[in-house]
Amino acid sequence: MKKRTQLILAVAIIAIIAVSIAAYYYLTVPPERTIKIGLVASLTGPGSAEGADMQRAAILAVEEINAAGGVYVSEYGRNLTVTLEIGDDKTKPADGVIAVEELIKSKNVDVLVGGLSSSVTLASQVPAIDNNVPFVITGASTPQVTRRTDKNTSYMFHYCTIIDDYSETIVKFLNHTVRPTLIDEGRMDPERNLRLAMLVRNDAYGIGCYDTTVRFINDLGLPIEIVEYQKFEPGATDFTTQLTLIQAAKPDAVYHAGLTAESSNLVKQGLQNVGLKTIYIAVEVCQTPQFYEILGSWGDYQILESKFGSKAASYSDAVDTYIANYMQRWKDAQGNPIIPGMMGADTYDAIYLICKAIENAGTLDKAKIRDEIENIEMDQMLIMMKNGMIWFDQNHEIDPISFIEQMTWNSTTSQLTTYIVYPDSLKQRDFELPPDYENEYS
Amino acid sequence: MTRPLLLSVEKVTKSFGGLIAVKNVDFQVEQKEIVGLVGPNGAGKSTLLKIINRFYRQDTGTIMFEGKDISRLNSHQVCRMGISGTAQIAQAFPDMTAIENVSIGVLFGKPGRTSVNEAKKKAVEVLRFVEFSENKMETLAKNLNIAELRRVQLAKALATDPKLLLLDEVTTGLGHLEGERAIEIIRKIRLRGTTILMVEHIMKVIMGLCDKVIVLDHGEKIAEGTPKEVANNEAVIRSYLGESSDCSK
Amino acid sequence: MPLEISLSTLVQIVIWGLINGCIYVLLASGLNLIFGVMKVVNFAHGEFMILGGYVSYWVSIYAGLNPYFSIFVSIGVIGIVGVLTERVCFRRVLGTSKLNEIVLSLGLIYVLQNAMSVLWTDKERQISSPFEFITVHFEIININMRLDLLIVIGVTVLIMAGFYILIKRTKIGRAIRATSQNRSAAMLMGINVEYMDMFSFGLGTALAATAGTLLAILFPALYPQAGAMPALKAFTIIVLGGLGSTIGAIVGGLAYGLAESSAIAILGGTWRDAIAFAILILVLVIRPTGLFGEKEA
Repeated sequence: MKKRTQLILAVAIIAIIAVSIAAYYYLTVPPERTIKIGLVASLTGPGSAEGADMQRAAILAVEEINAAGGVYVSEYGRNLTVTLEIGDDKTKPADGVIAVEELIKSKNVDVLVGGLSSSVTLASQVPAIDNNVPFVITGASTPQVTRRTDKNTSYMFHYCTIIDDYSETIVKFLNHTVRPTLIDEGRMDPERNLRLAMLVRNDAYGIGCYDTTVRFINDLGLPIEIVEYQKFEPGATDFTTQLTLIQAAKPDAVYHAGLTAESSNLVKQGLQNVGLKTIYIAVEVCQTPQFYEILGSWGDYQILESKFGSKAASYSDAVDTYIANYMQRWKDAQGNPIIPGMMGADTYDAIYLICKAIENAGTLDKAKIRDEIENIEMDQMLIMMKNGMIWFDQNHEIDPISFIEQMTWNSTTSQLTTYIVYPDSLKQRDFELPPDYENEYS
Repeated sequence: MTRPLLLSVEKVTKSFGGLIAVKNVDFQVEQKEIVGLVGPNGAGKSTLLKIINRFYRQDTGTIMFEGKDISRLNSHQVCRMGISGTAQIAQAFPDMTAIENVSIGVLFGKPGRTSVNEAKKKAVEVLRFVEFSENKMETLAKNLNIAELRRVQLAKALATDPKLLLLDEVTTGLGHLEGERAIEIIRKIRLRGTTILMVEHIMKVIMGLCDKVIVLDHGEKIAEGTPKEVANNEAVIRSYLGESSDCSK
Repeated sequence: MPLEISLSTLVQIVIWGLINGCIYVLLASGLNLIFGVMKVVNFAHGEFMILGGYVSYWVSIYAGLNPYFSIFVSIGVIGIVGVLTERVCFRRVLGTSKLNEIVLSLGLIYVLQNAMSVLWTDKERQISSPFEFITVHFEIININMRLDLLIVIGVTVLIMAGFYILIKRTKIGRAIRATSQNRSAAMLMGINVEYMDMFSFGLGTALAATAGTLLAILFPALYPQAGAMPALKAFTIIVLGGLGSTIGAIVGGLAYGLAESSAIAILGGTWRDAIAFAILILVLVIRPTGLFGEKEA
């Protein structure tokens, strides 16, 4: 072959390649940019009740935002729609890591929300930390998700109550409301301490509830003593022996920390099998529709610490609207209305605050979104805040109001409803002792 | 004198892996006859018994019992048809008493329904027949000695009312006196008119008891006839030369 | 545990132990029977238990039958399922190799768990008893007991008495015992051992179904994976009581229930399941033949 022919051929090949590359870039329209929010939820495993609630709430929030036209992002000069990508952590740390990695690497999400269970989230947040993806955690209650020191948590935000909040509210309620009630009814010597028993899940959440309770009693100098402390394994179904030992300690009240099935069943077994007729105080973690369903009439007069009263009579217009929309949305989709849970409410708020932060940032750059979440200031939505505003403190935590609800069995509708009995600012009814209540004096 | 045919073994072969244990064996047992199966160790005598009671399955060949082909039946089926026996190693139910052990045979080893109580009565009867000691009737089998176990086993076999009784070395492992008594019991069984096919090591026992003797060597039949005929058979003498000690006993 | 524990508390802890023990007795007896006759460890025994619970759950909901009567439906259904499982699955691999039998029963675990997931979802369920709100007071020891607890003890005693009579007094019981003590001798004595395999497997799984129903009346323990831990405990119990021993399974089951509730009381609730392994290891080291077992002759 002659040199000249070779040269022409080479030039031709280069020209063809160059033209094709140019044509590719010119002709390929990039797919329409949307805001991609990744929801990390437990759709299977022991946390599936909570996970399903988070999923339903997130879908509802995204649909509402898109129906209102989406989110204006100045960089694009127009409104972008929001798409939701869902990753199932299967309520297991290892699967959580896989789910989050997939959301970041193959779904290219701009920001993450969700994360149930402290142990799962402490693992699943690591890929988000390593890839600098903002993550608003709405399920896990351990403060470690934003306070851990082994990793840089500057992209992590915690939009839910932490263990400290549960215990603080509960011990204050015991001191402020239960103790005077017992003294008034002649059930307790005013000179003695209130006798509290604790029955908790043997994990970071349950043991954390115990530790913080001890701490608050000491820090606040309250006349409360813990007379019995028992634990159970995650997934336990039989609590009778622990409850018998608690009964032997003659407590005035029982503070229990479990997930939905555990907490509702231990109350039922305490009353039904063991005959421990006392006040059982549950933590909001177990607040799902199943909690009320399993308890049934055994829930009458029992207590729930919460910051979202899905069954309480209306105490907030935003909550009323949300509950109505949520129930209608899932009635249309699944045939019967589903009662919203607490972790869904967190997730719902978090999606709105993420969209607000993106609008403020005017870009989908993750670092800028992070800065805007850190500096967010907006009106409270479903979760009530102490100053009425959603904002994050130096620990990237919120400052919510938690309250105490008392459940009441309505025998005509065969349903449990709740009333807020503490604090006074939100109180709908006075706390009442169960009619068959027994303690040391009975 | 010809009697009706009870058992007919036709061209039966059985091998374990590559080792042929029984090779093309033919023989017949007539009713009320006592037939002895003899031969040196490893000649295939016990294997042949276990093929007849269907514990093993033959590779080829046919076995007829009372004119019926039993070559494809299971142990429990031929037991109910009337073939029952004892094994070389005493097989008992260790956590049952002697009576219970025997009553299993009464309950399951023969056709027809028997109540548990009837079975118990029959079991005691059979145990007495084999001269089992009265004060050990309620002893668990695992606490019996070897001679007692042999009797229980014989009683178990008899309890099924067998038409054909298979006896595998009833005297092996027993002392001289116990052995003599065992032979006495076999004579008693014979008087009842039960057909017996017995494997025996000791020629003396065979000579005294059997109507007919079949000699096996290396899985093959080498001789058949009356005890006297067999004793004088050259092939038999040759095959026994290596084991003269057994022969002379 | 507080040292100044009162008598009534002690009595109650013992009662919880015995009640759990009842469930374990039923479960372990079935497992033991199957092991005795077939010399197969049915690893899927816990799944048959949960399946039995679900059958009772269904019958009590859709037919409105008292859950204590639905036990009999469950016994029948699971008994038949057991017989079919033996005939279709175990018969084919029995005696081929121990590994085949193990793989088969491990495989059954997943088949049954997935089938239950499809039919009843993963949600925990409890069978509601019509006597849910009735309690009985015992003046002498000053304790209140839920009526259902007494019924569960009563049902277990009745079922186990029936089982004991069946095994010890009846004709088929003798055949079962004979087969489990010496399979080839049983065969030569006219017992159809393959029929015994089928019958024992069906009877064993029916006992498991009873355990599952009673468990689901007392605790919200009905979900597809709930059988794994009880099955492991039942295995521990038959090792503890002595493989193949009926009395061993009864005494072992009750002793295990007591050990479990004492472990919770003394060491704490987190020891509940760990105690099974501790006992298993201890028995295997100290007395491998179990309390009522003896070395094979």
